[in-house]
Amino acid sequence: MKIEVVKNILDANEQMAAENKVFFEKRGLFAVNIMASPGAGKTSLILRTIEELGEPLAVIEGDIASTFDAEKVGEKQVPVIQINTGGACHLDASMIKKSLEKLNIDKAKYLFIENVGNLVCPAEFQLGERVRVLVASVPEGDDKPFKYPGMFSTVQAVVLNKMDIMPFIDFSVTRFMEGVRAVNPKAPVFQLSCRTKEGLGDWIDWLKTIKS
Amino acid sequence: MIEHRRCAVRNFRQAGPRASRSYMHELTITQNIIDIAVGEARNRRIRRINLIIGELSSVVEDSIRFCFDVISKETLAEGAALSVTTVPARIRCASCSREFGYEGKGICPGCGKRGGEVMAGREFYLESIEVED
Repeated sequence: MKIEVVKNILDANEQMAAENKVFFEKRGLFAVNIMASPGAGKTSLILRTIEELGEPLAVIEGDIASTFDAEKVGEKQVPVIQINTGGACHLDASMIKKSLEKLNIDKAKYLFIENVGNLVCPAEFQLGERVRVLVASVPEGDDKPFKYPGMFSTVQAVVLNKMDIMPFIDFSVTRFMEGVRAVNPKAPVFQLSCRTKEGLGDWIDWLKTIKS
Repeated sequence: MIEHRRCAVRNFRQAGPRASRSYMHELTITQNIIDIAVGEARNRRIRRINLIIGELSSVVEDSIRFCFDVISKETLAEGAALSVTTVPARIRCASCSREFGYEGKGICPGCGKRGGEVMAGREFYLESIEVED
C-alpha cells in the first residue's frame, strides 16, 4: 500500500530556524550567515566588519574544533561564542538556539554567524538568518561557482576576498562572475581585500542598507 | 564530493549510528527520513521509501544509502528499498526568460547568455512510502 507523504526532510531544522528568525526579529537583531570554504577569509571579514561597521554586534563562531577564531573576535571586545561541532560539517538551527542562551546580545544590532568552512552542507541548513553571504577568495580559483552551484544559488551576497594578490595569480573575475550569474542573477558581488581594506566600503554600505 | 563522502564515513565510524543528531549532514538527513517514514507507517513494515532530490541540492545519494542500511536496523524501515528520483535543475534565463538545464555551465540555448534564476533543482523531500498491507 502506498502512502503519500510529501514532507520536507529538513523540516525539523527549518521549524527551529523559523523560531530563531522570530527571536531575532523581536530583538531587532540582523543575523548574517557567513559561509565559505576553509581559509577564504570568513574570520578576517568579520574582524574587518567589526572595525568598520560602527554598530554593536555579536558573533557566533562555528568550527569542527578549536577556539582560535572566537579568541581573535574576543580581542575586539565583542560578545562571541564558539560552537565546536565535533565533526559535523555545518551549523544547524538547534546549535544556534542553544548558543544564544550563553551569548550576550543585549546591545547587538547585528549577529554574524561564521559557519563551518565547507561549500556543500551549510547550503542545506537554515539557521534563522536574514541574509546568507558566501565568501570566496581568488586563490581558490575562478571555477568555484561552477563546482558548487547549489551553495552559490542560495546566497544574497558574495564577497570575493584577497583581491590584493590578483597580480600574482591567474584568476578571471569575468569567469567567476559568469559562474555566479549562472545560478544567481541578483546577488551583489563585493571584490575586496580584508588585508588592505580595499573595497570594504561597499560591503559595509550594503550591510547598512539591507538592514534598514 | 569525494572528500565529502569520505568525511561522512569517518564521522559515522567515530560517532556510532545514534551518537548525535548533528553529525555529518547525510546522517542527520537519513535519521530524519527514517523518523518521517516510521511516523507515517503506523506500525506497518515499510517496503519502499520514495525520495525526491534536486540536482542542485547538496545531498549525496550514496551517503544516504550507506547511512540508511545501518541506522534503519531494528526499525520498521529495516530492509526497505530506497528509491530516489532526481529532479534536474531548471534555470530561467535572466535575458530571454527561456527555461533550460544547468549542465555544468548554465548557458541559455536560446540567446547564448549565461545565467538566471534557479526554478527547480533544489528539492529535497520524502514523496511517499509503501507499506505492507
